[in-house]
Amino acid sequence: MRPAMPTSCPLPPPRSAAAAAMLALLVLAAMGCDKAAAPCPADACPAGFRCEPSSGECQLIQPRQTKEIPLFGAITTVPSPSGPPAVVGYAADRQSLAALDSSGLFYVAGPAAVGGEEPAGQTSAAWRGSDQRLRVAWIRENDRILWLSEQTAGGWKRTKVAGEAVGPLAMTEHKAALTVAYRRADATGLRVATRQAGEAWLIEDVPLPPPPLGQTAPVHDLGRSLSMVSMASGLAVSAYDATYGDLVLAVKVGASWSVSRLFGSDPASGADLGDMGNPAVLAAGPDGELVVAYRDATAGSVVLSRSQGGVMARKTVATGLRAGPNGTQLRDLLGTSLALAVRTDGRAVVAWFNARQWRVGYAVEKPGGTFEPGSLPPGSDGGAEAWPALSVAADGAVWMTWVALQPAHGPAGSRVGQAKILQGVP
Amino acid sequence: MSWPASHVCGWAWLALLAAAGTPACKTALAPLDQPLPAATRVTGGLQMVAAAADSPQLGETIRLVAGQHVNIATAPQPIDGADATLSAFTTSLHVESAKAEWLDSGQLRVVAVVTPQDLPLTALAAKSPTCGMTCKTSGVTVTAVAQLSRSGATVAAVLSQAPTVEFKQLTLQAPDGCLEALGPAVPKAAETAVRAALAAPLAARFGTTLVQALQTIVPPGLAVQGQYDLATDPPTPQWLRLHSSFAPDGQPLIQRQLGFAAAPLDVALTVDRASCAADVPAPPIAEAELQPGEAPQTPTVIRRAMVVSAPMIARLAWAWLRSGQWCRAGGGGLPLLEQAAWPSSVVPELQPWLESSPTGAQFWPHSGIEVAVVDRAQGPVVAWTLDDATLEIRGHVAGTEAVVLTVRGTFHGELRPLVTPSGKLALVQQGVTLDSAVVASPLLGEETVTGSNQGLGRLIDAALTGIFDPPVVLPLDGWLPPGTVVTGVRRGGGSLWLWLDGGLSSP
Repeated sequence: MRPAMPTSCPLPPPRSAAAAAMLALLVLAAMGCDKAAAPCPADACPAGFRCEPSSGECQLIQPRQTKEIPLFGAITTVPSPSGPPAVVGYAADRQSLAALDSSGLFYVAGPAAVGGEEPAGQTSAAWRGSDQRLRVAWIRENDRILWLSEQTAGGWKRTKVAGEAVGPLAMTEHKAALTVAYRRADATGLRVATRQAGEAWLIEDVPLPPPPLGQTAPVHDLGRSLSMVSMASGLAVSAYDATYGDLVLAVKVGASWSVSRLFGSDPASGADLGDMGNPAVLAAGPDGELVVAYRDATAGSVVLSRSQGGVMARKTVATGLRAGPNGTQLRDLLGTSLALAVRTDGRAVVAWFNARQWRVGYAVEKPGGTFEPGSLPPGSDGGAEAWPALSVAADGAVWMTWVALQPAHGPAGSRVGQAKILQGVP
Repeated sequence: MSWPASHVCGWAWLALLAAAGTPACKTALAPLDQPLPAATRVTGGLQMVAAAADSPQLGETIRLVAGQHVNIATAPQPIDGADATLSAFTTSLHVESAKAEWLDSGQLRVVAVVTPQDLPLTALAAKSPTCGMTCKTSGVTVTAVAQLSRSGATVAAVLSQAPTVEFKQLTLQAPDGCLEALGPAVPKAAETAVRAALAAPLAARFGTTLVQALQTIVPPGLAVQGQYDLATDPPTPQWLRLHSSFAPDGQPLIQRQLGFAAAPLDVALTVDRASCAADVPAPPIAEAELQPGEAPQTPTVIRRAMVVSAPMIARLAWAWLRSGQWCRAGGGGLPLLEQAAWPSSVVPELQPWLESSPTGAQFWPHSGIEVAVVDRAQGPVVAWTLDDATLEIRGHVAGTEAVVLTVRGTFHGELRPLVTPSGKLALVQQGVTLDSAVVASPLLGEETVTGSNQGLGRLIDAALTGIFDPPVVLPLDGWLPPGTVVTGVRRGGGSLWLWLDGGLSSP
């Protein structure tokens, strides 16, 4: 159940001129709050705001921070021991793969990292292991070689993982072994590379899913979207099957894989249920359940699904509906870039790219399971936003990172924006 | 699936336009939950017509289908008034011609002429010798008349009366007078028996064929009422309601006018509004008049036309738009978009941001639609205008699909009915142009793009063509007789004449 709004009066944040804050003001004012009563209970404030116990006011959890690093394209974030997460992405101005950590900005690959090297790093994934070292997997586009760069005391150490690789990439640690999932160069299937003792990598093909029931054409375009998560029960890899417009899930338990169609086709009849799963993001819930955020391109919505008792329960997170001219209702192009985070208390946060408005949005799962849209702290540049990423800090706080675009300066004029959108777990 | 193929709900070609592009029609025709208001009915919105000038060919078709040779095989039959039997006989009557004619009453009459023939027969009697004779026939004509008949709410093609077979002359010639020897009434009785034996198959053949021909020209199943659920997102239904009926009581079901026999249907059509469609009133209902269209110069078998009147076309377009089927996205025109030299020729400012050709487009109509049938060099088209609509162009920016350009303005286009090689009718979107355009990029912000007219024009045409690709193909099965093909499309005033042929099989 959604918690009742407090009788206390969470006031609007000081930056009330911002549209998002104004919205919160109107909503809260409409609730008839009493600001004299304090403190306010948990979940009293809109997503993106926290309740200041001393005053009973809702305040922005953290104002937006903009970092002067011109990343352009999809980014990966990994939690930092404290503070905002590290960001890994492609620095368009230097044509290089860059990593921004609390200790500074590093160029991992490309001409800015190694003089004379060809541009590199438009496809990457990152992971921070239990040793707190940052690891970045990336593909050198000209020869399709998959590399791993590891942060060491003496700089970045680079090792070759596999050849014939194309993006996207996904990375995790499963049973203490670093694991990278990638797409075969011919786009016909997935491979998973698992680091063995020493510098060796075990490369294995993920079995292809069978066509939906009643279909005969073999799968020939798999993995335009790719995600991976390590679970207690096994290693889960999701991939978009463009052949049939389905989200496919492969789970490795022990040494064997099981592959199934998760969304997009009726497993009983083979009936087409829509174009689903491009993209999709996996996460593991605190109880070991699988959590999936994905785009339903047919319905035009962003959906969260969580395994419950052996079935995947689904909830629509956002629809992208908006008012159009002459009383019409239009639908934004929503979720062509997605992010998902699940806190230790099980609450999920889903962030998406509104590819019609060029804005990033997010919604926070409330204790009752409903989703509340959040308000991103407004920026001052008025530019576009894209490529959201989420990460959960050690204290349970959820950080959102995105790329802020300044159209007048071209792709090289982009910046990284960050904001803490959900407080840590009490 | 990425992009489902066009799909059609059950019967109705009327439903086709509204249903085209929906992934599936999950329900069959359901009873109407409410009567359709009279204000939604287009009187004579559809007419099934046959040209009087085609009557000679129609008669010949009936002759060929009924049989140029009618085989007759009889069992032995007693001759009334005599202890005698007419022996079994077989023969094949040659039908040399048949003439069809539409009567002023709306009935279809066929008169077939049988070639004179001599037929050897034998009469057998217990106490007399076998009597051999010859039956001579001449001037045998078969006449059958069929009509549409109303029985309550049902209309059917039926015979107006039992077909008649007239013998100008039928004589039995027994050279040795053996027939008379069997009894005084025997010659007449034998003649009657032979006449009946010859007439029955002829009457049955031509009667059955005539009825089939009539219901091929005017399929009674065109009268239908019910509703289809167009919804792709159950459980909220989106109903397309349809009521088509032949002329009401007191009016002829088939009328003779302007050299045609025409069976008009009144058609009422409504559809629940999709949220993306503007809530604009339906076009005014006007009584449709038959405006003759030229017939295609093709060999005919059983040529007829379905005439879709101008008011009906306007209402179909309104329903199609209102159902949300124009709020479409697609990527089928990508090659054309590439040819449009995207984006340098359209919005140079976007060039540094885009890594490839456009990935697709989305169309949002914001106004009602106006349509008119006009002639083009390749044939008639339905020209349409949307006063206000937005086209969104999508592209890949750093690997992510996004809307990179929006064009809002007044769009014009043409829907061309095209006969496919297999004799079906496809509706092809072509020649889309726009004026009063406002071009913007949600990435770059308002008023940041320059937009060249020439490049933009190519882009608009390619995008709309792609959105409506593959073309809607009108299936003929299920509501027209099997084997029916479309042979041509012509304009008649503001109406479209869909010329049909085939669909008549042997009884």
